[in-house]
Amino acid sequence: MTVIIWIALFLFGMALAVQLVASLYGPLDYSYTIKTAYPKVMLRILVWGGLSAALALLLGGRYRAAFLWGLGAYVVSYLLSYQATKLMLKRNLRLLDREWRAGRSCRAIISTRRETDISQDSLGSADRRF
Amino acid sequence: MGTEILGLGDVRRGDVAVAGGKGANLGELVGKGFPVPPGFVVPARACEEFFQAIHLDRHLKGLDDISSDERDQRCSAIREIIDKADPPLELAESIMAAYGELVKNRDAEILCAVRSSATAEDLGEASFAGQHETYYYVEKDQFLTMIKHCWASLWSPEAVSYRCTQGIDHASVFMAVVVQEMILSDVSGVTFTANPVTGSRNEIVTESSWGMGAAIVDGRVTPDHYVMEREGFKLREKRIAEKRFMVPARLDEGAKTRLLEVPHWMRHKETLSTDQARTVAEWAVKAEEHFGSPQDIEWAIADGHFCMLQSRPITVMGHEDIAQGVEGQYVIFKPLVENFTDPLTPLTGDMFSLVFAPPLMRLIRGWMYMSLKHLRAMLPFKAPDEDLASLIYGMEAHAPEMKVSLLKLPFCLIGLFLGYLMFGVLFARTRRIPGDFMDRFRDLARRVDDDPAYGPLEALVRLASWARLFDPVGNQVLLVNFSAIRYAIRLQFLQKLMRRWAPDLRGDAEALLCSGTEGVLSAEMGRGIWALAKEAKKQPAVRELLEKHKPDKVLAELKAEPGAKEFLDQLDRFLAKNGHRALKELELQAVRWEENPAPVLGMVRNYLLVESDPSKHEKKMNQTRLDLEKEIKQKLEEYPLERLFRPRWRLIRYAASRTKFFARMRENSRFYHIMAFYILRKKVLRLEEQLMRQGRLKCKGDVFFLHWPELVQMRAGDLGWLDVEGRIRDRRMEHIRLSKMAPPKTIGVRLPARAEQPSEAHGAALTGQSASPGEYEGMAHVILDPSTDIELLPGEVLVAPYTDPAWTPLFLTAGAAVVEVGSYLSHAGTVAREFGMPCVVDVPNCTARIHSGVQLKVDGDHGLVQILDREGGEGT
Repeated sequence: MTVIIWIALFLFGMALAVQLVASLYGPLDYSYTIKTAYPKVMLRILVWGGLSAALALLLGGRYRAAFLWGLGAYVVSYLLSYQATKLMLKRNLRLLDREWRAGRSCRAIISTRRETDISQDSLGSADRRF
Repeated sequence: MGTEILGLGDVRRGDVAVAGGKGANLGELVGKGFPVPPGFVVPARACEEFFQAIHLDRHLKGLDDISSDERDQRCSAIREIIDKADPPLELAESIMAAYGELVKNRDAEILCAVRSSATAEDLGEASFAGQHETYYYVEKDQFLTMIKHCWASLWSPEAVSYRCTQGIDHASVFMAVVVQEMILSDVSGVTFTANPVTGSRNEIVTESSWGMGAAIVDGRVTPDHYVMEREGFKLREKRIAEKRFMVPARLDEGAKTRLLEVPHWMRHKETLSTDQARTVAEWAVKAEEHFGSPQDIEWAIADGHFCMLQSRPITVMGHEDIAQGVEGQYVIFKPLVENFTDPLTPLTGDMFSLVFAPPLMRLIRGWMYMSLKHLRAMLPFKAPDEDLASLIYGMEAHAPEMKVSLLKLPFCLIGLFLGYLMFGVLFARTRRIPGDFMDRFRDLARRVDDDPAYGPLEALVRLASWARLFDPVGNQVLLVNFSAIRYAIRLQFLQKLMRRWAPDLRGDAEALLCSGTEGVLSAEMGRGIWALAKEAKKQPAVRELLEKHKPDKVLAELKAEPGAKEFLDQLDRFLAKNGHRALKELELQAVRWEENPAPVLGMVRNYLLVESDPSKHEKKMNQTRLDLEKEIKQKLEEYPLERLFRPRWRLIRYAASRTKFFARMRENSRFYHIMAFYILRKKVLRLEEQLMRQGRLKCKGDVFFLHWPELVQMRAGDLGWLDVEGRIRDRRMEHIRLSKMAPPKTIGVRLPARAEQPSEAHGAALTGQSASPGEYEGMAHVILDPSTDIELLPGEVLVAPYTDPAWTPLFLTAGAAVVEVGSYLSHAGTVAREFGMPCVVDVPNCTARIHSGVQLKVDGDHGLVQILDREGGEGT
């Protein structure tokens, strides 16, 4: 049972981290209208930050660790995902290059179907002079 | 025959091993009395001896067993060896002597075409067409160099790669070379002895344009189009195009580009008289009779004399050829294809491939497909391939119910959770953000545009691809577009609520409830065009100019008109906001309104011609929506507590407002990622300009027919014009060929009968997909390009290949719409529902099957279009 609770709290920590990170982006996302939007932005940070902090304080011992591990794991994975996107782009470029090289030979095959000058098989069937 | 030079007249069709395929074919034509330009053939044996002399075989060892990168390097080295070596003196002298024969009795030197002519001896079916080079405008002192280039093209990466795939011994292939007089043509063209689009054997189709033929076959100009009946060569159809460009017969000294603008007086002039068109058709039929199969001939007319440049059998590429060699199951990516039906150019395709991560998405012959295999793994449904393909392809208003697979459910839930972790922050950031949050993207786009440090790839990455950690969400337009996918989920939720509590409402009730969203930028764009029309109406001089002149000419006239200042100022403001938009705007090649505002002026003109007021439509729509809301409230009143607290109505209203919120986000993010594409286009054009200055590219627009890795190599100086000229030509031709066909909806899997929609259900009825309900009868008007054909009379039925925002003004006057591609959520469907007109989409080949002027009955409720027998008549 404890393990299940531990896992549940870990996942909950992750899910809460999603909202917390999103709320921390508030000042950036609303910067163009921050003069009017700041109460909303602050409130969001306070709600999600406060909820995370309160839970971390209220949960005892091992459960607190599970929750905080979840929270931390998400933040780390979120940061890593930005590195992953760079790798993804490199991979896509590599794939594109590979496909292009493969495509060149593929095109060559197709071009034989289009070959025209030498495939006049029926030459002379109506051998007519002008 | 050994290494001696052969006159074209000495070669016959059986001499393929000596003269190569092209040489043998041309020799056969000369021998049979066809008017072919004179020339000679450097036989394949000369190539063989040259290769022996330079000990080429030493460089061929292990060529099959190395990586493609290494092979490319080896090929490059081999080509360099060939280029640097001198051919035997005897051969050089023979070539010059043959040239001397060619110019005998002439006043001056002539320019020649030097063409590779592959031999097929010992290679069975294999040949190397499309991989080897042809050089035009070659002067006498360049012959040897160009002949060596032709020989070297046996070692192009494509040719070597192909031989490796086919297991052909590299040492066994040689190349003959045809040297032929260049015909400095006044008019040139292509003639097909069977209609290549419809396949009709009774029609002879000729396309012609000014100057050299390269511009036509490369698709750089729209040629004049003549269709003749085979019997008696009677002219059946003549379409004179506006021919803006030509490849002139002679290049001016220092000319940077081969493509020149056609003088204004010649642009609309027909290139062939009826007699000339008949002569061309007669020669084409003679070639067909001689070769015994339908032919595609290239010809030229110089100083009034007809010349045949080439004759080859027509190869009509079928639907199935598109999927040839493709393994796996794919369904076309409809959101892309429903905006324009043409395939993407290679460069645009590569950019898409970089953004949309393969293997889920795959570009097949220029069209984007989704992999069924990968999608299946992500969806928790238990369904046959056909149903799944139908679900993905359909995007219908009411998707078919599918059983959830319990086996896959846990994995899908885990996948969903991982997806939430990956995109949860993005989803949370965009959940309740104000509608204008993406406006700042314009500043970012401007900064990237101005910064020379951003090349095309960097611009793509910055604007349309991966976000930075500290980017405001408004700068991540493509991700925002992805996050707006919630639109579909909210709409489904709304549909479920409505079907549960108010099942008897009109068919488009959900769509109507979600209409009338404020702040949709493409709708504001439509209003902007309407405002321009209103301004034009205020100024009689402006109105007169717009009505009198064609859209592409009127801008110059307006600038010269003092009374048009306010209109032009307003146009500038409009373009400053919407100038990045264009017809077929997802294609990098598409010219943007800012570059050429003719389409905008055309739309303004359309508004002026029909005297219609779009605000009336909006008012009517708002009233219909209010009536519907009232009706829903009344229907809900029978449920408990509804009169008191209205909980169901509140829930429906909430679901509708969230659907509208995400629908607006989806539409607006598209507005901005089109802007990103425009910046990308500008970067590519700057690069093209640079490459043209360096002589590595010769014609504007060719850059879009390069692949990204080639562009990188060109920029680095590893590839030059000679390396890419043939490839560009081949790709342009293939692009034209593919543009004439509709892409298969699926590859490797069939759609079930209900989604396949055999386009002739009964008699003259075409079936499609219902996108907007209602019935209408009226006269058809087929419009293929709204920038050139914009006058749709009130009440006519618009028949179109696709639609995008540029088509919107036509919907104002149309009584109904029939569109070749699209879905319930496509632009045509959305606009038609907004305007309350019936619309049937996804009607294959409707633009070919329906002719302007026939009477149509459009049944938007059942997705049926009936072609009535009679022509003419008024809309009902």
